[in-house]
Amino acid sequence: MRLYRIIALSTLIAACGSGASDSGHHAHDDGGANLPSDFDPTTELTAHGGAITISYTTDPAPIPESALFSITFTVSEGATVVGADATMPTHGGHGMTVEPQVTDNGDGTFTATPFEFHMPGYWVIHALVTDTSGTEERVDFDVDCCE
Amino acid sequence: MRHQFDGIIPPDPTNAVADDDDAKRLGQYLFFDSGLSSDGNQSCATCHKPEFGFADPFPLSTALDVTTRHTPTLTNVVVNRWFYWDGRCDTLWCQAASPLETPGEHGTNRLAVAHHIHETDALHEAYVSIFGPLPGLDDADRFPPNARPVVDDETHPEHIAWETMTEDDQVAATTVFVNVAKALAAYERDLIQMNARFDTLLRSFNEGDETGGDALSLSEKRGASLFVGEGMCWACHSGPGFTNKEFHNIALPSVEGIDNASGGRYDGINALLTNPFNSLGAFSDDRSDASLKLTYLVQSPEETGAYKTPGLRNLLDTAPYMHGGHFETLTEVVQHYNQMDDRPVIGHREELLLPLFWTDQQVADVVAFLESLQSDPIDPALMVQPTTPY
Repeated sequence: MRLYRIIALSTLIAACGSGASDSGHHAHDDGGANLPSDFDPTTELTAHGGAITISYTTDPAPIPESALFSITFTVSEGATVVGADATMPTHGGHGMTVEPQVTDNGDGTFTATPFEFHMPGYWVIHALVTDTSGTEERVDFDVDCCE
Repeated sequence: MRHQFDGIIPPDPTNAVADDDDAKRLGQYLFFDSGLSSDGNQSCATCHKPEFGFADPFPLSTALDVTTRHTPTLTNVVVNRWFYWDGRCDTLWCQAASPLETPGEHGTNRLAVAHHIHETDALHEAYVSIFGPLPGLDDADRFPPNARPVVDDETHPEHIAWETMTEDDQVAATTVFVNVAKALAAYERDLIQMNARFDTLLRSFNEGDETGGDALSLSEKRGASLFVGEGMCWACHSGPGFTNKEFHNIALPSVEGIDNASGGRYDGINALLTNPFNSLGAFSDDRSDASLKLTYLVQSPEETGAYKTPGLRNLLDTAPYMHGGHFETLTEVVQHYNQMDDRPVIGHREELLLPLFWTDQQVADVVAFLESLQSDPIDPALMVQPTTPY
């Protein structure tokens, strides 16, 4: 649960007229509550003009905050995941503190590990996918971290 | 509820005695033992003062020399993933060992530590009951009175003495030294203070009271709202210890006595990866967990000038604040974030941080909230040297 009760606390305080904030202030860009308007948390996307389908699961699930996790990508026949990473676009694009390595599981799935989302908010998982010709394309998955 | 402590101390498989009661007692005894110093006057408690939250009330500490960074607290140290402000250690026992051989801190060496354990009857007895027999330390030819590897000065007398030892004896002596550090770490794992009025508020939420009960004052509740709302403090100060355990450059001003242009975490990673006492090293009791953490660690320019996010519990005990003791009061801390008008001395500032333009009342409310994270004192029995190490 993402601090919903703290948000309820904010509402309570506002209702009491104590005013948690005044106009004219500059709230931090939280990268989380202020997700982009086109945010889409889908776990399945297409690439290479729709010829390739890629989906992912995480272990553990849901994604934990400030803890290592793995991502397993499932791709269409003939496609390969050759790289994976993640960044926070609204935090200057900074990345993780670990660099995942991708392993071909030999069954159409690829496991990338380790990942770590060391801050809450809007992350993008990047998967570099090649088609049967070897042409690379980056596929980006939106994530609102974390539960 | 990410800030709620569930009472579970994170395990440390790299330290086989992390949860051993006898090791904890030995470690507590050693924590106050000035015999672990070259002049006989310095102990861990010299800088990590129990009466000051196991931190130091001065910006920099004075042991054999003045330290180069502010002494961080050891209360709740167990929640950390990295140790030291720059994360140069990834195990608590690595952190416990390092000051012993730092010339300006304890200024001793691993052979002197081993001899101290061997020649002090009570310590000898406690040590062997936990770790087994000591090596043949009575043989001064094999085990000189003072020796250690001095990586950056091979002409140092202690390094010359170290080089006269066989590799097996070097490992044996280092094992004693590391075991001392593991006992210290076992004790430090018990320094838990996580039962604040804020935790009472969280329990009220868990029990269905949406108001949070009366554990916090209205000002403290307003501060909490700002902390998790527009302040987004929780983005870095998350988890039961109120730290995400990682590193950020928050554009602190320069202060005297420290290297303000230090690389911070960026340099710390170099030290970490070459540290023989890291979790992948030969003295780690379990390297399996470390394989992901260290093997895939990124050294990014983003981490230049970044320092570890400190926890926010029990701050009333541990002023001044930040890695150089930059701020004497919590109001100064919050105003730094409120104004955010300093350029970083090195590296670039965490992108999340922007001026908040809070009023004095809002700043006071956040300070009040931070003060509400104060817990009951640690068991007094943990704050003094036991009469015996066993």
